[in-house]
Amino acid sequence: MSKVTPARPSPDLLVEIEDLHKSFTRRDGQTVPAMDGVSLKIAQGEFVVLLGPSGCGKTTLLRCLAGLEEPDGGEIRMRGRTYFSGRSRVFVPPERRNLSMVFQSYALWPHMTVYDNIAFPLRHRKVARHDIPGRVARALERIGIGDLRNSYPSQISGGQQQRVALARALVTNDELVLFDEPLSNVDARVRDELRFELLEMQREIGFAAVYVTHDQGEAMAMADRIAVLGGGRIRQLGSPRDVYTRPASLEVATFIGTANKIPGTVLSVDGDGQVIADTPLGKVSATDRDRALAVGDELVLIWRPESATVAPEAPADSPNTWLASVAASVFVGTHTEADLSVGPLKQRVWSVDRDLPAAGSEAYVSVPGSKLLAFRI
Amino acid sequence: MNAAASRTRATRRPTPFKIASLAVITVVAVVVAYPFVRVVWRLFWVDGAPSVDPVERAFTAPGVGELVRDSTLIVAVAGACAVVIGSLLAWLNERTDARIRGITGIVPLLPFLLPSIAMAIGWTLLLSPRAGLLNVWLRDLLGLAGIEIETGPLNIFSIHGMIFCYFVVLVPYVFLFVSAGLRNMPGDLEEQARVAGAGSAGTFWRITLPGLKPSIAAASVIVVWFGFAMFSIPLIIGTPAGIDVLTVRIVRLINFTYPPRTDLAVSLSLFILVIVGGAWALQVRIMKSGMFVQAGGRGAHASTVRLGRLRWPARAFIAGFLVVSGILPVLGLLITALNGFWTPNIHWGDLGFDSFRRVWEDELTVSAFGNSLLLGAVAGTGIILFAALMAVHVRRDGGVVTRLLEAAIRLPIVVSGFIVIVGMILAYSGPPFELQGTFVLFVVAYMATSIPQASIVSDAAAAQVSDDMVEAASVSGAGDGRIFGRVQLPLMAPGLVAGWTLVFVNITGDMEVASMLASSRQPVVGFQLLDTYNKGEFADLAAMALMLVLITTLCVLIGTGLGRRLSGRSERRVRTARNK
Repeated sequence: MSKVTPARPSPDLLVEIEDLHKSFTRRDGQTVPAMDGVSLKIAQGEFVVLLGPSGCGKTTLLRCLAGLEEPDGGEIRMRGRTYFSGRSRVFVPPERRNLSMVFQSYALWPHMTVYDNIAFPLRHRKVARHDIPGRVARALERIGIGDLRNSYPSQISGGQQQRVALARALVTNDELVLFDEPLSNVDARVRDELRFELLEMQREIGFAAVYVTHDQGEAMAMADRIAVLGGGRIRQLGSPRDVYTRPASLEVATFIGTANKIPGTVLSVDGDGQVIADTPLGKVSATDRDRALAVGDELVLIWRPESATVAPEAPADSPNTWLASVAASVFVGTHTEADLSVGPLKQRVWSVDRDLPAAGSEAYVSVPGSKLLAFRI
Repeated sequence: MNAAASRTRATRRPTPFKIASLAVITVVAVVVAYPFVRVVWRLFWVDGAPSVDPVERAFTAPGVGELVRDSTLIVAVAGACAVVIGSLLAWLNERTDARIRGITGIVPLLPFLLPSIAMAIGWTLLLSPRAGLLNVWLRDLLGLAGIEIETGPLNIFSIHGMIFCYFVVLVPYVFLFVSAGLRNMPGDLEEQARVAGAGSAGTFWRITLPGLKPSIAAASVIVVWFGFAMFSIPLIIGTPAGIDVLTVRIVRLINFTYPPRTDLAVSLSLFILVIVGGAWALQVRIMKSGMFVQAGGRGAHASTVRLGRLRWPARAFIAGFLVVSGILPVLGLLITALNGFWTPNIHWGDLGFDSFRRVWEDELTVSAFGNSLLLGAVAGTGIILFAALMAVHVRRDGGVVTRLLEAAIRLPIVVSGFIVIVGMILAYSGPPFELQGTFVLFVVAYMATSIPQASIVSDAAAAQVSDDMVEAASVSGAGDGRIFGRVQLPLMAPGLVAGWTLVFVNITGDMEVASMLASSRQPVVGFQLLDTYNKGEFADLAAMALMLVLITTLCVLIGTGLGRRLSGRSERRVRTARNK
């Protein structure tokens, strides 16, 4: 308390993760890397989503932050205090890390009432005994489950259990709250509701959140920044908009959102990142953000279903326009989706503002070159 | 902040709770493994040099061929029958409309309530060739048909009689294992087979039975374990029949031979070691083959097979098991006890409680009951708490040391609890421990022999507590000790209470430890029963056995009630699949 720890580069930096490694040994003796050099800085009050397919290491990273798993190497610091260091052999156990966690299974203790579940962290964090009832009551009120305080977890619904788990995580007012796919076990309506409430509370209380999910819609909706993980590494770290519109790699582009792919070969490149590619659909002009392509490279062009315009007539003067036959067309409420056969390729388009041609008809689809992203393979 | 930061360096060190549990586990491992090692040592090592003498002695002992043959034959036949009938009872109860809620699931377990010594005595009173009550009635019945015989027609003092009693005692174990297997097997597997066009019979043979293989294999191994550890039945029924089994012969050599032939007893242990050890090794192989991995978790309840015309015969079959396993032997005990002495000619008007009064007024018997109940409570509580601690410790910390200690504790008992007791007599009764005939040696022996039941129950209970529950407590700031006391122990409580009940019942009705350790200085129920049996006071014997049954039943009822109350609030626990 007396000294300010020197290792605090900026006032709002909360967590620093440096070059974290962790591998598991499978039963057959093979070693599988779960994290292969992960570095991440999390600011105070920031909402970071760890997104990736199953097995990408996101849960391992979260559990290492919590102290439930011990990394093989690297460093974890929070507020300048070292929680883990492979080099100086420091490992702070979870009960001394002063952070909270919401488990996928909620992990409510079935032999304790809702009240006791929520009071548990307070009792073990040396909170004055007479303060506990008030703080539990406030947490219950905030989450809107005050009437459940004397129920057992088995007597309440899944959504309510989820709320109790949330209340238990928030009651200690920790600066960092970890979420391990907390909404994957509740039904869609409750999920939407809880998602907004959780965000609201996060803004209000100001804790930093690290949130693991494989649902990219959820990631987009909640994150200040998304860390896309794959193969034990962070493939991209950025705002939801960045990650969606400027994916760093083909892997990220195909994992986030729906992506249409057109394979091809580079015919020409110019200084502005304009690429002309030879594809099964003919010559296509696209954008090479990283200026990484050279003539003759194999590439994949990616475009999003909402980037295309579909019209019965070919628009004048639009380079990337192809005649497509409509294989299926479905109205899904908020928008219309259509599967198109364009030459040998299947491509998908969405349209919000107008109906797409019916199945069986033909139409022209055009995608502006700026929306076609080129990635070398 | 600074104080906290300096503390972090120390946290790699094990917590006090961890050190304490490791210390306790180490002590138990030494206490249990040492006697066992001593016995095995004496099998291959004589006077400081390796030797084959003990092994040779085992094979050249008088009548050893017969001894091993009979022991094996009885367990094999009785075990096979128990596996078939026990599985059938389990299937009828779990999957067919012969099930009657709250009855068919309990009936096959009732022999657990009847200590095997009480059952053996009960059947002796009913089916001894000359004076057996049932035999007399059967002779009267045959007399009506014009057939006159002097003895029989049935004789419990025969290899058939022994096989029958073994069978009845072994059925509940099979029933437990196979029922659990059926309950864990997702019902939709069978429903899918039905939908795919297989009839009930086809579904049973092609889906249910293959899915049950692991449970049936486990049940078979258990049957071999218990079969070769059986003591009271061969003592009461085998001795008059002139049939000896290994356990009885070993105890005789140690306790009823003067001077004790400990060397030969140790040599004969070799056979138990090999046979039961082999069964155990088989079990390990089955476990390793991954057959125990269940496809689903607790599946939805399976659809019921309609037995149609066979429904009531099936129920009659279950009732028949109840009659032979419980009602008849208890009736035999009751009639003899009330009659005051054992005779086939019952004077129904003169029945009374004299024998109960005699038993109750005998100081030695009362103190034997007191000792047994106290031992059951002390050793039972001790071993269950220890097993819970060990189960939790093993789950959290599967290091090499822990696994070695676990093996040191389980291996001897699993291979043969009987040999461990023999070893305890060798190791602890003489100098420097001088524990012969003391309460402490009893507690140690009972705790050791109860390890298998205690750890099966505790491991299952610990496995029920999902890792999330523990991790959530850990993140909430609770240390190991608090997590054990506040989360793990309460969550395991229903299972532990059930385990405690089982252990308590086994200890109070025990014969093997009693026959080897007890004396009139430190009498226990088993010793007192044996003594009364040897004196030929059958009415008193029946009265004592009945009192034991009564206490056992009472204890089980309280235990189940308590278990149900404990699990009531947490039964439908938060279920989720960790889909990662």
